[in-house]
Amino acid sequence: MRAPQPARRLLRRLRAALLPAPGQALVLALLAVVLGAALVSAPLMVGSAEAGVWEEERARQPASTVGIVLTSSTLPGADVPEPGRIGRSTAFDAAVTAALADLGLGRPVSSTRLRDPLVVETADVPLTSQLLSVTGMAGQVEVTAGRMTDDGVLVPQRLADATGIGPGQSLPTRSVATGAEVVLPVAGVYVEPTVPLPPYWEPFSGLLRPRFDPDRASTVLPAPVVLAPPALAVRLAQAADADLFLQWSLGLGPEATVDQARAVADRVERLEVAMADPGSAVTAAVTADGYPRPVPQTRLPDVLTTVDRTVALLAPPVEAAGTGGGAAAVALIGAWAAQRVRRRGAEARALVARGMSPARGALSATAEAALPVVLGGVAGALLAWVLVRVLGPSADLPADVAPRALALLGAGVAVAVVVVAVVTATLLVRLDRAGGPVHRSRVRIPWLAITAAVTVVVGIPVVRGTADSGDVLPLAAPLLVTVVAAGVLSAALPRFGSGARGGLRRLPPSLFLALSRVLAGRGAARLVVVTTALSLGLVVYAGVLADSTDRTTAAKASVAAGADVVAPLVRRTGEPGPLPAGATVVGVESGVTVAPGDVRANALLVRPDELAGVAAPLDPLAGPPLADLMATLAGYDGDRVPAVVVGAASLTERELTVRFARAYSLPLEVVARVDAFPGQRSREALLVTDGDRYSAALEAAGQDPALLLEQEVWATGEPEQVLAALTAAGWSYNPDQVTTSAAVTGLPELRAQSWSFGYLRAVSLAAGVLGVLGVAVHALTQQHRRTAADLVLARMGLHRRSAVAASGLETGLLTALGAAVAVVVALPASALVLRVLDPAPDLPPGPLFAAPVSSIGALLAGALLVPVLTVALTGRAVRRRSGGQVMRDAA
Amino acid sequence: MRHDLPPAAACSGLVRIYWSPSGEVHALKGVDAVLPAGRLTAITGPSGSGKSSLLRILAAQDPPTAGRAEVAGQSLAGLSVRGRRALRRRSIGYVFPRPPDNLLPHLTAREHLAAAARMRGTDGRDAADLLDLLGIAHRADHRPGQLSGGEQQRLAFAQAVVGRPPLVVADEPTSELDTATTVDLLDAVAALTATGTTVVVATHDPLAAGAADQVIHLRSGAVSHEEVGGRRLAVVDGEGRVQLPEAVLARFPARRVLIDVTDDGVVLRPPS
Repeated sequence: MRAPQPARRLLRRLRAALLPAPGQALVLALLAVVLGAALVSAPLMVGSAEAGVWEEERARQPASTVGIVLTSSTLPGADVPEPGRIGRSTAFDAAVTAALADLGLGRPVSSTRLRDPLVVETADVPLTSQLLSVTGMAGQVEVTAGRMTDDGVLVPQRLADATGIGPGQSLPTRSVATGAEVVLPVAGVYVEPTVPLPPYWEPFSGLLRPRFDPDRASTVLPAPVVLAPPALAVRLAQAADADLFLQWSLGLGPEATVDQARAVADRVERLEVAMADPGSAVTAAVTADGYPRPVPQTRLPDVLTTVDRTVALLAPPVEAAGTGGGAAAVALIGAWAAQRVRRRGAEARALVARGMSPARGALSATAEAALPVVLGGVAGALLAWVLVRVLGPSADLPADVAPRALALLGAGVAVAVVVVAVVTATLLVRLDRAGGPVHRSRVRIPWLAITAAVTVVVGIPVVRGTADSGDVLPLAAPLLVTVVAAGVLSAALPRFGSGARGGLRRLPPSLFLALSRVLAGRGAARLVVVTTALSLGLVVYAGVLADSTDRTTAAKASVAAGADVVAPLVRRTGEPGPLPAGATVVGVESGVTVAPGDVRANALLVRPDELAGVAAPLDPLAGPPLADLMATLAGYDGDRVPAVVVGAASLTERELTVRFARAYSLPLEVVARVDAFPGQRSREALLVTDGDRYSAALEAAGQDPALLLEQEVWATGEPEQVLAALTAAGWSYNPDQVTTSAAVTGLPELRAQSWSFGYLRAVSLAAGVLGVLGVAVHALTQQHRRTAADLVLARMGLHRRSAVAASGLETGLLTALGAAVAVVVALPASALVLRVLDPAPDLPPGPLFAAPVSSIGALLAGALLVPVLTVALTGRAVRRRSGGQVMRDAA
Repeated sequence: MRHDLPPAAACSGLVRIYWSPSGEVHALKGVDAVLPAGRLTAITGPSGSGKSSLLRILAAQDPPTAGRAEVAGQSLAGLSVRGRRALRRRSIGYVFPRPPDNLLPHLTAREHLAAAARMRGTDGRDAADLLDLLGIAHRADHRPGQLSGGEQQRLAFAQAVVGRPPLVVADEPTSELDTATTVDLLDAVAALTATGTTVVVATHDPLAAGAADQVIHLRSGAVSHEEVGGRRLAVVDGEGRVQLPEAVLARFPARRVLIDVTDDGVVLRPPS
């Protein structure tokens, strides 16, 4: 159905006002897409990084450590049980629970555990058992006989089997500490949870997890745990005259977002204040009965600190890249506005002749630009949202990101529209004041010389390696060098052209035309070469930065961590069980002195036959293959201790002596030297030696290696599984000191640089696409300018296809020149800048170069696409034009 | 034709100098001209004679360097850019040589006139009459691309005349038209002047010059002569200077003349 007449008229008026030239509007909309995407992607990326760090850190931490745990007991300083105080723990529990709930933290899982075990007599040997009460446990255990009631306990199947006691019966026990007889009314029998423990039982892993018994050389089950309802547990504690350990735990849901985590951390801070309030019920109970004041324990603030640190490091470069991309898009929109006035110069002149003011012209341009800019900006924002969610660190974005992104989008759109208005008004003012014949200024600015001078000034610190990582200017050096190289090359084109003029005449017409135009090296051709080299050079540069950072990060993680999992062992006298598969023990001696030169160093005592299969592989640029090094170490047949010297330029002698205080002095022989080695956690010198030979030498020197050396287990695999296997095998380690390669990769400095350069690569790819499109559009513009000349050539016999092919070839050659400069110049120049971009200088090795294969592939694809696109666009333009009109327009 | 009306535009001693890197260019060297209201005036002359410069000044697009110029009773001397712009908007219509340069490709004829009326600050009530007068009423809902060159140029005139400005300036309006179309356009312009519109055109076209009520011929930046009603008139400027036709000038090789005033007129003789 056709729209009624007034409606159609209104639509036509709106179209005339808002969309008079759809082709130009489409170009503007594409620029606005880039503007919106660049501006909005920056805050989205920062938000995504914030959520991504949170998710990664959260995944690395045991669930219980990120949650909140408060502990107390009925045990006062006097260490004397008092039944009244034990009984009032119920009220104390209620007060703490209420304090947590009042602050919106939710209802905690409260648990009480009898301080001293209970002894249960069985037919064989007496069994000790633990009495535990946990709120909500009814749904967390599988009851095989009887049921959970308020006046009976659940005993594990193991205890029921050993005692022959079942539901409805009583289990006589006595307290280990006081000897008091305690009768447990049995309500049911449950199945003990097994490893890996469900999250609910994780806080009680000390009671439930099997452990290695060195005496039996096998894994043994823990003491049976009797589960009691809270009120009954208190009554039984009173009966046993034994104190209770109290614990409240609040887990953070597995799907908790970073916003929710921040809210919880904030509430935990307020919780401490609330519970310390003199008027609070908790303080009253603490004061009256001497309960230890419960203090929230959580690693949540530490995790959030890591999140904040990463975001603080990542935000400036990401925002700079996003703002730079947005500024470039705004500049292009300004160029669009200028081009709009020029392309519609006749219209502008006519309107100015009829008295249109620049303000009115600007208003008209603004109305025309508003729709494409708004729609393009919104489309760009949506594109950025999708890309960041799909390709960014996390798909979940914090809540505060959207307002910031929308504000930036609004500001960007407003600035773009204002730029269109200002550029239009300025050009109309010039048109209005031109008066008569306008003569171009004869003053020409020597851009190439100026850029070259700036490049030299900026590049010297980069080449000499004296630039600081905090300096911003050296980062521009690769792009400046690329621009200068492209400028010099394009300026030299006419010289090549004059020499090759004779040879060109023998070429086919299309090739002759294309090469003649390229070698003429006119301003437009030079501009194409320089801008193509710049945009594609940015793609290469960003690719080098991103890929090199990833490679450097992986190498640093390999070197700093040593292996997937490194667990420092607690010094112990007993022999632990066998090592899990894919693990080895490495001895560590820190702070030895190496002579000659008295160089301070650390020593790693390795098992050469095991280490190569366990340690993280070394990047080829960071050192030779580990297997070769270990073979060299193992193959030594001298009478000294063989050693690989790592990262110590001053230790040049082949034979060294290592001393540790006044304890010992050992002769070493250097069998290899490398720059980096797994387990090298600082820039100090590292000696990698054969552990058996080193220990033997120590024993020969009258020292006990077990007393002198620290030991670590290095293992491959997932940390949780490795640590569980170590625990099960009886290896004792300090969980807080366990290192993983993922933890090193997750260092804020490394992660922030990796992500920010990844983002820069995405922005640069957009710039590359714009550059490619720009070249194609430029070719089309050239074709419009040459319509009359082409028509003359056609009337002289040049086939239309040859004219189009010449245009495509010309553009392809210019783009290829730009691309060649981008690869040949920007690639090595980017490698120089890498030296000043070490995100963690304290961790060896230094920055490693990685060729951005994917970026170069994209660049080549783009360079190939340009002539194809040009042929398509110009072919269409050539088919559409009419000869008569062309000659009339030319007149 | 009414002779009691003040002229639509007038200039005397008009000088226009452009500055270029190679020196000053004296485009107009003291032009005196009067454009009577409700008449078609043609400005002719060879290239470089100053036609476009004079036209730009009359169209208030360019200020005079010296001399006096008035359009619709308003002096252009000392007028600011903003003032000239307001004068253009209110009192002057302008037509470019190439028909497409006058029109916007996305507007219909009717919309062109409506937009022109909005710019001039009038209600555009005369738009339909103008289309009818210029013979393009049946093309009111067509866009420029659907019009012939002559129709486009007639539409350009209609657009320039909307709101009835005191002066319409046209720069070689027939240069891209064939003879038949030129005749049609000139008829349309004649119809406009018959309704009181003053039109001045710069032209090389003898047809256009022939259709004009008055022809001002420029030579080297000055008025060579005028033709009114088929008679060729020399111009006497305010200082008493007369520019003689070239053929007459050849009779005075010494550039000196004896002037005899008789009852019939004034006689110029070379000194013996």
